[in-house]
This record gives sequence, C-alpha cells and structure tokens, in this order.
Amino acid sequence: MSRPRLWLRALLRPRAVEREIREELLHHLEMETQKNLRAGMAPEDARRKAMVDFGGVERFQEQTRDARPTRMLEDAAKDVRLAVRRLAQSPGFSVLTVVTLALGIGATTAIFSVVSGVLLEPLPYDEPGNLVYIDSYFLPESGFDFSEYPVGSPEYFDYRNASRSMEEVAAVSTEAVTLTAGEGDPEVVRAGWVSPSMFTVLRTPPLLGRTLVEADGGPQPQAVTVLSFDLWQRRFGGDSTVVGQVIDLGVEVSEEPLRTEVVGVMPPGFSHPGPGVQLWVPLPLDPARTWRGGHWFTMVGRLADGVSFEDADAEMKAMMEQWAVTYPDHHVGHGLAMKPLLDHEVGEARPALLLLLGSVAFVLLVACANVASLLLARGEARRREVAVRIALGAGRMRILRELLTESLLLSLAGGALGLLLAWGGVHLLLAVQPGNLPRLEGVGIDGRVLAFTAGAVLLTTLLFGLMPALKESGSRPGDALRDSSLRTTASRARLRFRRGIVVAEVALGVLLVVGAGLMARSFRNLLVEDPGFQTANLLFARFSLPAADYSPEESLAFYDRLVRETAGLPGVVGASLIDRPPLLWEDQNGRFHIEGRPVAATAPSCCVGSLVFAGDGLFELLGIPLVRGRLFLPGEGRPDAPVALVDEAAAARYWPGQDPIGQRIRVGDENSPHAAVVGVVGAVTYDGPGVEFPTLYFPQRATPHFAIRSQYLVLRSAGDPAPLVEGVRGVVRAMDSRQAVAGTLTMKEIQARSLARPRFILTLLGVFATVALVLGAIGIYGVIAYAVALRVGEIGIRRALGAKGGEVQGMLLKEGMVLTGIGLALGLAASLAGTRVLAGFLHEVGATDLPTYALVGIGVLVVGVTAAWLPARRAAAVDPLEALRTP
Amino acid sequence: MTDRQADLLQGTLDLLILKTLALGPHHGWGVSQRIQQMSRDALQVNQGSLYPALHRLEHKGWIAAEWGTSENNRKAKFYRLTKRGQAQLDAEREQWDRFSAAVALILEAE
Repeated sequence: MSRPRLWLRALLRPRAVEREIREELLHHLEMETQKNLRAGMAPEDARRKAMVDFGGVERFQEQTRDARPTRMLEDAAKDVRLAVRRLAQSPGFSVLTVVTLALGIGATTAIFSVVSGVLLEPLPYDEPGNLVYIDSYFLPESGFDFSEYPVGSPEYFDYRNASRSMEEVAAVSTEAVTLTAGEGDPEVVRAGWVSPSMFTVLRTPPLLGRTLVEADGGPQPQAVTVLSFDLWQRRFGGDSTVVGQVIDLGVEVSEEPLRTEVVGVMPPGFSHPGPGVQLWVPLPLDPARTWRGGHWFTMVGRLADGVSFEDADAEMKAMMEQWAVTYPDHHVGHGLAMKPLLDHEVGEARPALLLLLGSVAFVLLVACANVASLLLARGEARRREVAVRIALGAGRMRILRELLTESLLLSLAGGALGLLLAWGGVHLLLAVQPGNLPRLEGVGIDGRVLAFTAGAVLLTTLLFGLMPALKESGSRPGDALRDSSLRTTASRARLRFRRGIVVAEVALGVLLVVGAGLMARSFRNLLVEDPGFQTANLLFARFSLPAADYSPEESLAFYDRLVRETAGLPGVVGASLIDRPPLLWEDQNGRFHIEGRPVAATAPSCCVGSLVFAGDGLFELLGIPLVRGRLFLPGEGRPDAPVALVDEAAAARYWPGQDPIGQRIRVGDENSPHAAVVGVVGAVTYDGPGVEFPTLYFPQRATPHFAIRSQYLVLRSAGDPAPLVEGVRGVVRAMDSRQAVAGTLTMKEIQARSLARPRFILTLLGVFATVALVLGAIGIYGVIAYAVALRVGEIGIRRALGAKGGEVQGMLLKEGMVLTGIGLALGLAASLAGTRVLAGFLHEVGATDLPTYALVGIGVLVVGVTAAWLPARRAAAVDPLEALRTP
Repeated sequence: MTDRQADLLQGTLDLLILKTLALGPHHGWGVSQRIQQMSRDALQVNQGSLYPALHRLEHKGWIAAEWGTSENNRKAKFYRLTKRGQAQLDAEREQWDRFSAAVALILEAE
C-alpha cells in the first residue's frame, strides 16, 4: 500500500488499522505456540510460554501503535471528535463564544478591508509612491485665503523648467463635452484636458493605438483624442477600428466643434484625474503667456529617480520664496504646493475612516474580553473534572491538548462565521456607502486584515482557554476536589479578575455609545438645519450647449424657451434657471471687488465670495427671502446696466453696519463693468450643510460668454419631481435633437448626498455601539451568574438563616449595579477625555454635550440591571437545602 | 535481547530486517525466526521491538505489506522489500561497514 494511502487509512479508519495490528500480533503468538508444540511441549505450556515470551498483546499493541508516525494525527482526530462532543454538551457557552468571536472578527475585518482598500492600497499606476499632486494656495497675506486653488501656465512652465526633482510634470483639467459620435443618444461626458506629458507621468500604456505625445501639445495642439475603455465599449462597441475615426466634440468654451481623430484607447481602470473622465484631449499651453493671474488646471508629477518627496517639497518651497521676490505682484503669499497623489485622492476620507477603525478596534477588544470571561467561567466549571482526571493519572499534556483542541475548534468556528459576516459586511458597506468615499472599486476582503484579526482573537481564546488548564494541572488535585466555593483564594482571585474584565467591557461600550449618541445629535442638527430656501419637490436638470451649435445669444434664447416650455408641463408649479444648485457645490473660489476698497496684493479684487447666476423668478421659485431693496426685474442684466444682489452673509462680512444697496462691485479684472447692488437676500447654504459663505447674485443674462452655455433648469413640481424628467427630455428633444440633458437631480437626492457621509458614519457607529452593549450585557450576566454559582453555599446558608428571596436577589442586583456603575464612570471619564477626536465630525454639538452623556448613563445602567436581573432571580430561587448539600 | 540491547540496536534492527526481507518476503514471525536462524541463535529479536520496527519501516516506504495466508493456513501480513528499501539497505550497509571498521581500528590501537 502506498504511503499516502497508509496515512489516510490511519486517519480515517483507525479501528480497522487497530484490528489488523491485533491480528498480526495474534498470528505471531499462534506461530510461536506452534513452534513450542513442535518442540514437544504440552499445549497449555506451549501457549503459556509463547505468551510469556511475547509479553502481552495489549502492551505491544500500544507500543506498535505508538511507533507509527501517523499517531499524532490519529490522536488529534480523536481529540477533535471528543472536543466536539464536549462543546455540544454545553451549547449555551459554545454558541455564545462562537457568536462573540464571529462578531469581533467579522466587524473588524469588514471595516478594515474598506479602510485598507481606500487608504492603504497603492494607486493603479506604475510606482505610485513617486507620484505627486501639485496645486496652489493663497495665504491671507496675499489678500485671499484658499488652501487649494488651481495653477496657471506661467507657473507650470517656470516650475517645469527650473525643477530638478521631477522626472516629468503634467497639467490636468476637465471640462464637459457633448458627444454625438458612436451609438446612443447625445451624451455629455467629462473630458480630460491635459498636457500630453500626463501619460508620461502615469506611464500606463494604451490598450489600442497610442497615448498623447509631446508633439500633440503646445499652444495650438493637434486635434487628437484618446478614449477611455468604458467609452470605447459603451459607444463604439469595443470595435478596434475606432482608431483613426474622426469624432466631433461639442465644447462650451470653443467656438468651433472640436473635430478630433481618435488615436488610442486606454485600458480598463484608467481614468485620471477622476472616475468619470471618458476621454483626453491636449490642453493648449503657451510658454509665451506671461500673465500670472489666470489659474485653470492642476498638476501631477513624477519624482525623479532617487529623489524623495521631502527633497522635492523642500525644493519647491525654496522656489516659492524666490518667486515671491521675483514676482511681488503675484507671489506674495501665493505659490505652488505639492502632496503625494494618494493623499490628494483619499485625504478627505481619511479622518472618517480612521474614526471607524478606532471604533471597531474597541468592539474587537470587547469581544475578546467577553470570550476571555466565558472561557474563564468554563474553566472554573471544569476544575473538578480536571482534578479528578489528574488524580487518576491522566497526563498534563493530554489534558492541555484536549483544552487546546476545544479552544481551537471554537476559534475556527468563530473565525469561519466571522469571515462570512465580514464578506457580507463588506458588500453591505459597499451598497450603502455614501458615494463620496474614493477608490472603493478595489475593496474586498483583505488577507492581511483577516490574518491579523483572526490571530488576535485566536490568541485570546488560546490564552484564556489554556490558563485554567495550566493552573489546574499544576495545582494539587485535592484542592479542587474539596469544597471549592469562595474559600479558595484562587476562586476569589478569578472572580475579581472576571469582574475587572466586565468593568473594562462596560467602559469600552460606554465610549462607543457616547460616540454614537453625539453623532446622532449632530446628524439630527444637520437634518433640521434650515438651508435658507424651500426644499420640497425640486428638480435640477443640467445642460451644456456646445459652442459649435449655439452662440451666446442663441444660448440665451434656448434657455428662455426651455424655461417657458417646461413651466407648461403638467405638474410643474414653476421653472427658472440657476448656474449651480444649492448644497451641491464644493467650490468656494469666487473673487470680486468692491469699488473704493483697497485691492489685494495678488489680484485686482479685494474680497471673496461665491457667484451665482439667477434666472428670472428664481428667488420666488426657491423661496429665498428678500431682506432689503428689490429683486432683479425680468429681463434685467444687459451689459449696459449691470446689477447685483448680495446675501446676508456677504452684507455682514463686507458691509457691517452699513447698507450695501447702491454699492458698486465688479467681477474680473480692472476692465470689467461695475454692477450696482440693488438688494439683499437671505443666506443659502450652497456649499454643504452648515457652511455660510458670502454669495453674490447676478442675473442669468449677465453670465459671461464662456460660461453661458452651461445652466441648470430648476423646476418645482406639485408632487414628486422624479417623473418630470421624461417630460423635460421630451421638451429638449423637440427643441433640438442634438442636445442632451446632461444630468438630473432632485433636491432629495442632493440632500441625501450631502448628508451621506455623516449618515454612513452614524449608522456604523450605531451598529458598533449596539454590538458593544449587547456584549457588555452578556458579560455582566455571565459574571453575576458566575458569582451566584460560586456562592451557592453562602446563599444557601443565608436563606436557611431566614433571608428572604428578595433580599438575596437585591444583594446580587446591587453587585451587578456596582459593576455597571464603575464601568460607566470609567467610560464616561474616558469619553470626556477622548471624544475630542470626534469634534471634527460634529455639527453644532459639543463633545461634552450633557444631555447625551446623561442619556447614555441612564441607558447603560438600565442595561446593567437587566443583565444582572436574571441570575439574581435565580439566586433568589435557590433552595437552601439543595445549596447546602451541593459540595 | 534484553531491553537495553534493544535500545542500542534499534538502528541495527532496521538494517537486519531490511536484509532479511531482501532475501525474500516474510511475515513478522518469519522475520524474527530468520534473524535468529541466520545469526545462529545469537540474536533473538524481542517482539516488542520487531513489530514497531516493521510498522515504522512500512510507513517510511522501505518495505511494503500484503495480507496473505501463512504456513498454518491463517491470515498473515507479509512484508517485502521495496526498491527504495533496497537503496536504503545498500546505504545503511555501507554506513555499518564504515562504522565497524572505525571501531575495529580503535580497538586495535596500542
């Protein structure tokens, strides 16, 4: 029989193998007997001699069995079977332990997988650690205060030529283009306007054809384009003959349609700078341009060989100091800054993810504590059994091995269940994720994480599963065999230890619950916050007209007609235009100048503010109140008599105590016209909940030509606005079949999006807090039940001496309350100290919010009482005679 | 053999078993008889050492076993040497020769 078969047989059919050994040995005995017979002995003597010589079949069977190398595995298989039977005998304990382990492993693994996929996974480019993102900043000394701002072409060229730290840099920006080529309706997509060097920086080779090359760029770039994989599949059917095709790109900013030749297709997964970019076109870049006031793209670069980020950063800082001297008009307090590309892509999500990671680590700790507690209790329960076995001669190793096997089985079961939970959890997270967590495409169960978590929990299980065994097998069996109860110091010490664990559990649970509670209050504040306008039943539809089809005047006419026709749709209460919807934009880059004020150092404007272009009737439609003065008149906004409205935030910041009406403001450079302020309207949170930024309004007709083709249609409907989308599309199709609705959003969707991240965090924290509380309750229950079990004798005596059930119950309840109380106090103290870390996420809620703490305190005490009540009641039901009799 | 001798000669026992089976297949009892015979009664293998050794060698793949019928018409497990066993036998034989030569040298030294 071959060796693998031998091994298998020994494992799976041990009894058959034993039988064979026995037969073989019996055969030997038989032969020996025969030999003795032939030598002339009497039959009984012959047999007896044979047996004496042989020495005993049983013993040899043992020895022979021992010599087989499969022995270890056979023993292990036996241990496993025994362990399974044992664990099945105490289902409550086994199930609790496995569930606790599973929760701990599952939750941690799921969250950490997301965190790891987003924060730790490298970017999908060659040597991504060497990629940096470069943009500019404005410090207050420049007259403005922007931590992030685009870059201009003189800055780009100066840096490119002077820097020795970079292998290559590229300019990157995006614009909307209307696409009619290929299959499908006309579509508005995001296009990358980039310098060809972007492909050199990122180093991703094309799937078909070629990428953009240096010769394609320059002040007058070649009319070429590279497509993304998605676009190629979606509109060109994955046909490889697309290379060489000429397609038209409708662009807002250029008067001619961009007639480009497709020169290549990129592989799947490539979409720099963002997930929606569908094609790339060379950005016009003229080294001869010297005006340093224009900024319209950002940069990406690759560090040169052997250059560290710190070196490149230092070089850039030194260069900026130089520029401040060389160009005092532009670069005092304004310059370029770099950060690793990964930081740029995920930076915003990092705090939230780290917070979640911290919370989940707590849950893991609580789970481990619970498991430790459960195992200690079980170890205690089996002390007597172990002692008896040792007294009867069982080897220490054997007992250790059995306990080890049990612990391992529990860990494996918990780990397997936890893995399932983690897998489900990751999918759930991806399904409910707020949509603004970057890089979620690559998230899956992470092997590193799984290994770490499983290892941590395994360690706990093994440690606390083995501790009783190690202690017992060393102690004198007599101790355990005698009456245990609280007379032995070892038991008392164990009880103290368990109490300590439970207090720690409760404290951690309290931390989580406080965190969740604070987030909940913050979320509620966000929900009920008044954004400054009426939010019910609003629909926003985005449009982007290509310059090839529409001159500025034609655009105005198009939008006028659009408003008229859609206002007449059934169910529509009113229609107007706005250049960007409230709550959605995250762009606070506008600058303007108030006549008579001093100019800033780096630009011909004094002040910052958001600019919004409002169509006729917008304020009435949205319900933005007029505070002073008047609103725009219909048709107002012609270039000869420009007017403007300011909001209360602007009025408060720039005209405190004064009347802004009549003041003249200007947007753009010194040659732009001044507009007169004719009224003050209520503030609207355009830039996300809780953000109040000064806002200026201009009539839609006054929109500069380069931006006039892009608008949002605003509709308010009588009921749910979603069904209106079809109607709007129909109107557009009838007006001009070449144009497309670029996108639609209802106000509900916008609100949900802006609240998505806090809601996500809150949900998760809520789940963690609940899990922690449940585990803590189990812990308290366990400890009180344990105390009862240990003190059965004492309770019996008390009852026999006349104590009523209620008194005994009260005594134990009090014990439970004390434990909960200490844990609560510790937890609250830790919260006060630690929830500062939550401050960045809280909206109008202090980290030491009293009502939240009070509520948490009451809640936790209630949980503690409930958990202690059941075992306490059981103590009250203890029959004194039974209790005294039980050793 | 006494237990002490058995311990000392475990490795040697393997060698003897392999050699015995090289001369032809046997069951366990047969191997013990052959060894006794060939050593002219000088070596009597203790059953307590023999069967563990046989099982060990089987698990190492140096001998293979088959169930058959023995001389007295009873079911018995027969062992034979495998090719790997033959190679092992040659290797151990060489080792044994070198070892005993070295011991002889020492014993002859003045």
